[in-house]
Amino acid sequence: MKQFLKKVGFYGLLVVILLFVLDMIYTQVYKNSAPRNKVQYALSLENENFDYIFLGSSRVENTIVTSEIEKATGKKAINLGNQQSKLNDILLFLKILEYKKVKADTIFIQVDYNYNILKNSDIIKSQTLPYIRSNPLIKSYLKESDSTFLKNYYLPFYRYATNDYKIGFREIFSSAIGKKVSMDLSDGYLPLYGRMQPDRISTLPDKLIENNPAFDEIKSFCSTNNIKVLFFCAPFCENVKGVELIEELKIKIPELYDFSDVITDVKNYQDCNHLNNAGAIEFTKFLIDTFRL
Amino acid sequence: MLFNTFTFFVFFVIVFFVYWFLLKKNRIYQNILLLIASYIFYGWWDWRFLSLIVISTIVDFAIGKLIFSTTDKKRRKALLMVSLLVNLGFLGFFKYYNFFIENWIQAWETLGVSINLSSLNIILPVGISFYTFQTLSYTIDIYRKKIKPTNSVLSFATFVAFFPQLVAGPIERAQHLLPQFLSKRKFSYKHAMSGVHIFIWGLFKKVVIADTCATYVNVIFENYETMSSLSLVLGAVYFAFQIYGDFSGYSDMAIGLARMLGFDLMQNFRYPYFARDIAEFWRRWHISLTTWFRDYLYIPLGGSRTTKMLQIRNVFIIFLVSGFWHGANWTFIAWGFLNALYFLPLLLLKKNRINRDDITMNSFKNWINTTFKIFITFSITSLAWVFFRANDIQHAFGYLKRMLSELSLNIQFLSIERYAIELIGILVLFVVIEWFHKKSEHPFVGKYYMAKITFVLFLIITLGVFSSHEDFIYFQF
Repeated sequence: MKQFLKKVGFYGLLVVILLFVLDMIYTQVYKNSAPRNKVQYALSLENENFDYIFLGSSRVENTIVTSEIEKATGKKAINLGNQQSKLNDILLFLKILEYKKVKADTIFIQVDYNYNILKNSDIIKSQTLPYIRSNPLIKSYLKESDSTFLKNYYLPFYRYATNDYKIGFREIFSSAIGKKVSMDLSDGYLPLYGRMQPDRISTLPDKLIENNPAFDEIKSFCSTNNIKVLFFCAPFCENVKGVELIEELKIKIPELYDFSDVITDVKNYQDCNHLNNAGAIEFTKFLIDTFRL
Repeated sequence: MLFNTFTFFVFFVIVFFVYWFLLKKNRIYQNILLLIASYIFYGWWDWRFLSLIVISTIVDFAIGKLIFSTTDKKRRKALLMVSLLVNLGFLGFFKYYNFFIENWIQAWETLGVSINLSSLNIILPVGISFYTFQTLSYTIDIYRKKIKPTNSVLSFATFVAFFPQLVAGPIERAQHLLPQFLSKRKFSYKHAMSGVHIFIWGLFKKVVIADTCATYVNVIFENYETMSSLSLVLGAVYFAFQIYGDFSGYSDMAIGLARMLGFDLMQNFRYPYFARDIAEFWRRWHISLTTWFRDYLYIPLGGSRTTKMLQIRNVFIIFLVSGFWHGANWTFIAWGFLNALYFLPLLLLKKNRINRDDITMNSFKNWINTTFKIFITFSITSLAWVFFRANDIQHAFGYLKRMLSELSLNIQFLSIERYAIELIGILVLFVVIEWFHKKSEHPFVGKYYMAKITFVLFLIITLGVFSSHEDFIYFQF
């Protein structure tokens, strides 16, 4: 039995060593390789100045054609919209930008039904995990929102194993060999192609929630740090149900720019919540005109 | 409680230490511990269904003794019937009730008659087919005077509920496993270490091979209407590896855990995808079920020692029943039927008993010949697995039709952000490892076994799917 326990103990030790070593390798690769997602890209920025920064979910990422802005105005813009981003995640981006001394004349933030979502995005969470021990902002972001924070923080490799889909072997391998991502992160716009079926619908939540603390914190953070921020609602197709939610939102946030109905032609949509490339260009032009960017 | 979870790890460590350190001098206490642990293990899913196991245990224990104590043939037969009725009654109700009701209604509806029978919202108790068959073999063997009943209800109850193999086998025979609960256990380093090694290999098969394949298979099968032929072929191949990795991985882990507790379970898989014909495949796949059907169904029906027509009938019966055992769905029956069709030419040409030897490739001609046979057997098996995986029979036919008619070899990008072909590398590595170790239970043998273990642990950590614990497929049976 003693011999057995020794041997099994040795295997256990081997596993622990592997976990430590792999955790170290993965973390170093993520820290030192070229950015492959927008969290990494935001963390790589340092002392940069932009005229406009756009934050939000895929309804920003697939909607704001920053190159169009630069082409039309000669001003520098970046789209930091990220798939599935919630207001908590947008707040994190704001904090990272401030921490990295990245300045912008105006920051545009998408607010719509995401006001109703209090939790964080799993995608952003997994993208931040490699920096849990090295970045205080990310540490506090995860500490507040992630129920597995302690395991992710203290157990070696736990974060990579349980988020294998996003930051596992395949992603680390791509990072290590410097494989490029499909979008230009310095621009940040990810076009969608194709058209939605005319009969496709999208349903917004019935009721607006009382309060979203992340939104309040975004406002107070911007005010404390003298950040000029504009809240806007990106377009929805005409088939959207429950658009009254946006009316409610306008009462709660009087400064909200409601662009939910500015693009009506169905050919400009990839689905009811997302513009296709043609629609995104049209909407970006609309923004340039409206705000005289 | 899945073997590949932290909860199970803690559970097993506690059981192991109490079993070998606190109770090592008393076999009865060890059995009590195993029984309690087994009931906790089972109750973790749904404690209500523990009652079924307890009833099966009491009924078969009592009937076993009654059959043995009487010489009256009619009474013995009647007692056996009671055991069959109780066990198969539970199985029939929980597993097949809705299937029969729905098909009965459908059959009448096709004749234009509408009948009003409602199906019930029945939850299938995990592993019911496994422990039912295990207890049945006990009473049948006593009836056949092959074994004597045990006097220890504790040992029998532990034999029925032994947690490593309770929910997905191997389906043990009383002849083999029960005596192990009746004798004193002695810890053997070699035996326990082989258990650890076979467990690690099983874990690799489950979390690296099966669960990775599952992520591709789910997408390909659910979106088959938009998939190219190549993607659909890959989907079928991936499912072949998923089910093999999942089920043989579970069996390996069960065998490994049992060995660490001083027990021996029967081998359930013997590298089935290296089979050179379908008969050999069935001698290597789910051996505990195949031999169960052979001993308790095929041979009583006359087996192969009867006329050709009856042999053909027997083959179809055994494969159809085997298919139906897996689940109350026409897909499983079609899968069984297809396997019977595959088997038929071998039976008619009297070639079902060739390829019983070890695979050797001592000449180039032999190499070509064997590789070709293995390839063909694997291909037709994978084709049949499509029925096994499909949601319903239309799904299966739709999948196969598109696979054989679409004829495009596009390498598609799936919604899981993977190319359909990406998994091939891991599977080739897996096949190579298995091929070079096909004469042993696991690859951790020889001079470099430590290096191999380190490598496999590395693969489990880096390539294993831990973000979602896929249930073991065979739990549903």
